[in-house]
Order: sequence, then structure tokens, then C-alpha cells
Amino acid sequence: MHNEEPFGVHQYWKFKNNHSVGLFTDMNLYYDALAIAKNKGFINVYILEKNLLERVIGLKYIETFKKRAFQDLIRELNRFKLIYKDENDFYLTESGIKLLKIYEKSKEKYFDFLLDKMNSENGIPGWFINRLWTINPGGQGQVVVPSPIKSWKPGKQKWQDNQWNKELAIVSEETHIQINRRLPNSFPMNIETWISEVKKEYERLGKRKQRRVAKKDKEDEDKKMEFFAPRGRLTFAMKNVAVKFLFSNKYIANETNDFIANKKSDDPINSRTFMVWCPRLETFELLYYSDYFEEIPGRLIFPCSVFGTNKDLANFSLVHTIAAPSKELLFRHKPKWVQYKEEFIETLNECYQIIYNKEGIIYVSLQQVRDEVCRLLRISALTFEIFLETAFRESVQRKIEFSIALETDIREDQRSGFQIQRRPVFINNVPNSLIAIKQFI
Amino acid sequence: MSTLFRKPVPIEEKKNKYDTLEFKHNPFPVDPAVKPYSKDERENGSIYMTDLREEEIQQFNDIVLNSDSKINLLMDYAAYRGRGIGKTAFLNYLRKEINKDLGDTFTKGQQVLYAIYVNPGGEKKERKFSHLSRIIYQSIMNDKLLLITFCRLRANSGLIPNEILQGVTYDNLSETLGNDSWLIQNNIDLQKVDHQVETILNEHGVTFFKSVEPNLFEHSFINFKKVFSVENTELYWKNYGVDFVFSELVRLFKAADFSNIILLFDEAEKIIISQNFGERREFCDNLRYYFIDGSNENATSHFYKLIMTIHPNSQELLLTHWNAAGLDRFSVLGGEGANANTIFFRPLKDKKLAVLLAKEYLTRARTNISNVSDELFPFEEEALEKAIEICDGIPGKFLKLLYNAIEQSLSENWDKITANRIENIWKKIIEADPKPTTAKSEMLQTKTNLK
Repeated sequence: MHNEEPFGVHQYWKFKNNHSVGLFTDMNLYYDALAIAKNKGFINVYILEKNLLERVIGLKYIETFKKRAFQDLIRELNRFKLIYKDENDFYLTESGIKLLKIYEKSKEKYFDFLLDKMNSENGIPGWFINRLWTINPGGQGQVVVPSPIKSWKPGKQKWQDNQWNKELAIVSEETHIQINRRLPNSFPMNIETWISEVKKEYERLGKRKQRRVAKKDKEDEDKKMEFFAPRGRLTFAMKNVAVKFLFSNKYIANETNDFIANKKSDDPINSRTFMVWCPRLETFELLYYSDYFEEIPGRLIFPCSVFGTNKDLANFSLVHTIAAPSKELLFRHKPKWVQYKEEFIETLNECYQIIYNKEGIIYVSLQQVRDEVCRLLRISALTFEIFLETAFRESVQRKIEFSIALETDIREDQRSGFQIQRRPVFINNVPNSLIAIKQFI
Repeated sequence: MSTLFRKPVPIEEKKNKYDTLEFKHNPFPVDPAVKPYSKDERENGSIYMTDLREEEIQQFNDIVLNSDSKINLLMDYAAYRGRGIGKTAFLNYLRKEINKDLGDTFTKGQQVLYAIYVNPGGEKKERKFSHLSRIIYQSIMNDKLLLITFCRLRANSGLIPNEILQGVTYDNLSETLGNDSWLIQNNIDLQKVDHQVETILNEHGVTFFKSVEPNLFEHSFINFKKVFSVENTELYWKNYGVDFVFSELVRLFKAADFSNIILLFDEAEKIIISQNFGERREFCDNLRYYFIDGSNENATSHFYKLIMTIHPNSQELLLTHWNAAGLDRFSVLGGEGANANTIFFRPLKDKKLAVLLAKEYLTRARTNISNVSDELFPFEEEALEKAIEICDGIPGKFLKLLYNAIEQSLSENWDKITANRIENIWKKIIEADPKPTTAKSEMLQTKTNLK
């Protein structure tokens, strides 16, 4: 259709359905659900609940999903036409059977298939990458969604005590300053606007209904939460403001909307779906993100893919199904080991040395090294794993000048809080979490 | 002679490179850590300047000796500055000072005390309270305490005349009161004495020896020690060991008229860090049971006084369990209330004190004391002041820096060690040591350009 549009008319990003997305991030779930459908003849929410295997996210063992996740999963499978509805149950379609076969043959093609579906249905993946490049073209698309500076550790507060105060304003300001000092232009919102928007959002969140305490027993008294954590609320407020600013239909620097919108509020993603798209697009190797860069308060996201017309195919692979309205194609950064070996090993060692010098411990967090290597080289987590595994093997064979030691042990600080949900580095299918590097003498 | 049977050259005969400075050896310790049983006075803690720690000694008096608090803490005041600040040296000083006259000077003759230094190994095996009891027991057995107890029991029998007791000193106990033939030589009726001791023990409820050995004192102190040597098996300690230490031994020491035994428990974090959640809770519960309100001799008579050195980070680990066990009502771990039971250890503030400390080390190493015109030679006073300043007031680091300075002054033939030189040495140490680098204002630039 858009081929016939006259030159000069703004071209929108296309999508078939709507922007809504299931609130789950594990891309293997589609396969698992389809396999159950094949096995049992059909699926429904109840069957998925009973049969989907428990799994591990990061280092955390997830026993069951919320019912909502199964409903979402079925809705998406249906929308992708992998299953169809007959009365209250769902049956495999031809395309569903095909996807099962694809998965068994090549995981990469399975992911490409899903990426294609998501892109044409929701319109998000290609657009998301493009938006990152729009926000910070000079910084190679790296963007930060802020959260309060790490040194701020307030206690809990009475629920009613929801006034904005000077401390919160200072934290918001300092967060903005730190991000832009360390990675200029990665969060290009005006600082005054930022503080006032965060204030508004924080106060709005404070006016919500008081949450209830989860009952352990049916007979327990119905109680309202007495306290709340200011850090949690401020984090949430910052995320809402930042996502709205960065990923709204019309970006501040653009003249028009990216998508045809019916309503003014029809933004492609909100802070909730943002949390879903980051890990999904990471699985598809289109971007990399981490909440754990020591110097950055917030989530740093950068693309490992770029739109262009023609790219050197030794270092890039074409994502066949995604194109921008400008007709530019999407290319994944997928360098080959032979050409990239030296650069990778040099960067790996450099990043290790920086952390080692800072901490003085020989074994340092592998995830921390990965974050920085991927950021400097703009490679995906999967490429990092493949390269590290190769480097490790070559180190054993003394084909490179460094001795690399990997450990599966988990240090105390890697076990606490959200760290446990952090993606581990899989080498030979084993999650590793510590690394030491030394030059052979 | 065959090289096979060659003997090593004694250290004294080797050429002493410190001769040029008129030192016996490098005046400062190569590893600035206290090794309580080492023979080298640079490392065994015998060079100790009480002036440096007057404040802490006063706190010890107030908190431990002159109060009823049973569990006390010794903590670094500044977080994570722990190593080398002098806690072990301080405990070691307390141990020596208390034990030399059984607390006579410390308590102005009021109490009879003995201090035991307890230090868990680093193997992370010791995680339970029974393990701690075993370490306490082993420290008691390795110390002189049992011999002193035995001799005090004999002396308290009332059957040995004062004139004879006058000849007994701290150092000759095993040859005098602990030695049967010495008593016989002095015309003492050994049997009567031993019988009286047995009566005293009975009166105090010490029952342990009865089950083990009917003729308790047949073979003198060696036998006595053997009686109180218990099995060293995990099973014994799990089932009986804790009670043995916290009831039986307490009764024994009380029979010998000790007012209190002070347990100087160093490096408590070694135990705490290796514990899991459940073990920490259990550990705190046991601390309360055995030190404060359980049904055992120690808790009822408030006999052992515990001082735990603890690092701020292990304090965090322990805090919830500590409070859950209700220990916070008796001994506060952290926060405002901690002052009542915590000796805070601060870095040295006064530079002059550090200079005095260095002078003491220098003097002890000099070959010819009378001939010295400058007591700080080869250091200049400003150099020593500079040194303590750049070491953040931590004596351990300070001594190590001075050690390095002496070595370097010899290899480079310096006539004086100046403040400038100290600074240069420090810079070299820092360069060799990985140190936190201050965060750059901007992160490293991306290497790959995808566009």
C-alpha cells in the first residue's frame, strides 16, 4: 500500500492488530504450549497451568506462573494463528505444527519466526530499535531509563505520608545529573521538566487506594498496608515518566506520530509493556540491556542492530522481516569470531582489569564484565556467550595469550535481591558467574 | 662432610645487614599481625603502648570489669577499616595484663580474674555453639589456667603455711605447688592436702572427676590435667561438651575462687560469616541461653564475661538474629544503645602517639642503646607523622610502611628517612596494590560503530 503514497507524505510504522503484549518474557513458552497442544490434542488455560514445566529465570526457580500469563500466552498464540479456537479449547493450526518443526531444527529460525509475528502484529520490535537510534543517534542509540541513585536508601514511611519533599527532589536531580555526566545524551529530558514530572507522578501514585496486606489465612483480618517504601514509589514514578517521555507515539524531537493513533493517549508502550519488550528483544538479539551498570542509576539499553540500506555481511546479518517506513532494512550486529577475535579478547581483558583494579579480587562478576564488553562492542548477550566459550577453549589450547578461568560459584553479593534474576552467562549450557583472566607468562 | 648432613647456619652468624644502622634486625614486623605465641617480640604483642589506647582501656574497665554486662563487643568505629587497627594487639595486651597478677592491678585487688584468648580457625568448620565451646576449652587447656586453678586449690586448702607459699611465683608454679615432691620436701602432708582439695571440689559441686578417676591426685598435676581432658570427638562435643564448659569448668574455677574468667573472643566474624540463616539464629539463642538466662552454672552465676571482636559487616549479618533471640535487651548490637556494652576502636588520632610507638620499636631493636643521640634515627619526626597520616591512623599499616622504609633506606643508602621519602614509598605500595579508582566522569566510549 505505502508504495503508492506520494512522495513527501509522512509514512507511519505499520502493524496489524494493536500494541498489547502478553506479560511474560520467556520466548520458549510458545514452543512449550504448542508441544503440549500436540501431545494432548488441544490446550486451554487449565491444561497449561497443569502441564507447563517449572523453570529458572536467572538463578531463581519459578514454580508456577500467574494465571494471567497463561491467558496472555493463549491469546498471543491465537493471534499469531498458531492455534485456533473451537468452543472453549484451542487446537494447533498448520502454522503451529510448522513452528514446532522449526524449533526442533533451529532455534534461531524459531526466534525469527516469532519476531516476524510480533513485528507485524504489534509493530513494536522494529519501531523500538528505531526509536532508540532516534533518541540518541550520536551515542549509538544508548538510552537510560532512570531509577533513583544507588546511594539513596530511605526507610519505610507511613502510607499517608506521601508528600513530595526536598530530599526526593534532590535524588531526582542527582539521578539525572549522574546519568548525563556519565553517558551524555542518553536521557535527553530537560532537568527541570524531569523533576516536575516525577513530582507529579509521585504524588499521583500516593493518591492511589491503600493496598491491602496479603492474607496468610482466610480467617485473617482484612488489613490495609500501613507503610510504603519511598524508594519503590520513586522508582516507579521515574520509570513511568521516562517511558512516557522516551517511547510515546510522538517523540519530542519528531514532528509527527510514528503510528496512526486514534486516541491521544494511544502510546505504543507503557512502563509495564516496556519491561516485557526489553527481555523479548534481547532474546531476539536486537538489543542489550542491564540494570546493573555500577555507574548508571537505572536501566541502560542499547541496540545491537541498526537500520540501513546496505551492510557488510561479514559483521551483520539481515533481519529479513523488518523494514522501516523509509524502506531501510534492519541488520543485526553478528560479527564472526575469526575477524573479531582480537578485538573481543582485548576488550574482555580490558573490562576485567578495570573491575579487578577497582575491587582487588581476582575472581570478578562475569555478568558485570559481560555488561561492559557488550556495551563497548555492541554485541548481544548470546554473541558474548559464544565468543567467551570459544575464547575459553582457545585459552586452554594456548592459542591466545590469556589464561581464562570461569567459575560457577555464586558470591554472596550476587545472591541478593534482584541480582538473582539477572541473566547468567551460559557456557556449555552451564550458568557461570565469576571470571578471572591472567596473561600467560 | 656430605651435603646430606649439613646444618643450617644459625641466624646470628649470618651477616646482619642492619648493622650499618646499629639494629639487631629490622625494628618493625614484616607481617604486622599479632601472633600471641610467637617468640619474636615484634609480632607477639609485647611491644604495646598503653598511651595509645587509654580511652579503650578505660572503656574496658567501665564496660567489662565494673559492670554486670555478660556479652560485650569490641568494634571498629569506622566501617570496613578493620585490618591492622590493633584489636588483636589490644586483646593480647589485656590478656597479659590481667593474667600477670590475676587482675590484681586492674581491679585494685577486688577480683580474681583470668583472661583466655579465643580465636576460631579459618576453616569455616566452626559454625555451631558446640564448636565455640570446644575452642574455648582448647584455649583453656593450652593456657596456664588449669595449672593455676590446681595450685590455687592446693593453696586454699589451708594446710600449706604462708611462709612456704611466699616462695611460689607465677613462673615457678609447676616446680612448686604443682609438683608433689616439692611439697613433700617442705614437709607438707600431701594426702591431707589432696583430700582437702577434693572436699572443696565436692562442696562446689564439681563431679566430673568422680566418674573418671577415683584417685584424683595420685599423679600430681599431670593427672589432674588428664582428668579434665575430655574426648575430642564431634559426638562428645555435640552431646556433652557445651555443658562441660559452661557448668563443670565453671564450678571448678569457682572452687578455686576465681571471680570471673574473661573470654577474649577474637575474629568472631569467622564463625558468623560461614553460618547459614538457621545456624545464626541458633548461635544467638545459645549465646543467650549459656550466658544470660539458661539453666547452667555459667548463666546462673554470671561467671564468664565475653568480649567479641566483631566487624561492622558481620554485625549486619547477625543483627536480626540477635534481636530475635532477645539478646538486644542484654547487649545491644549497633545503634545508640551499643555504647553500654561496646568498646569502640578508633584509628590513632594523635600523631605524637604514633611517633612514640615507632620509637619503642626502634629502641628495642638497637644494638647499642646508650650510644644513641637521636632516638628516632634514621627517621625524621615529620616522616613518622607523615606515615601515620597517610595510613589513616591504622597502626598495622603504619608499622608495615616503616618496615618497608627501613628496607629501602638500606638498599639505597639513605642517611635519613624524610617525609618525602615516606610519601614516595607509599605511592609505590599503592601502585602495586589494586586500589579503588575513582569513577571517571564519563564511561568508556563505545568501540564499535554500527552506523
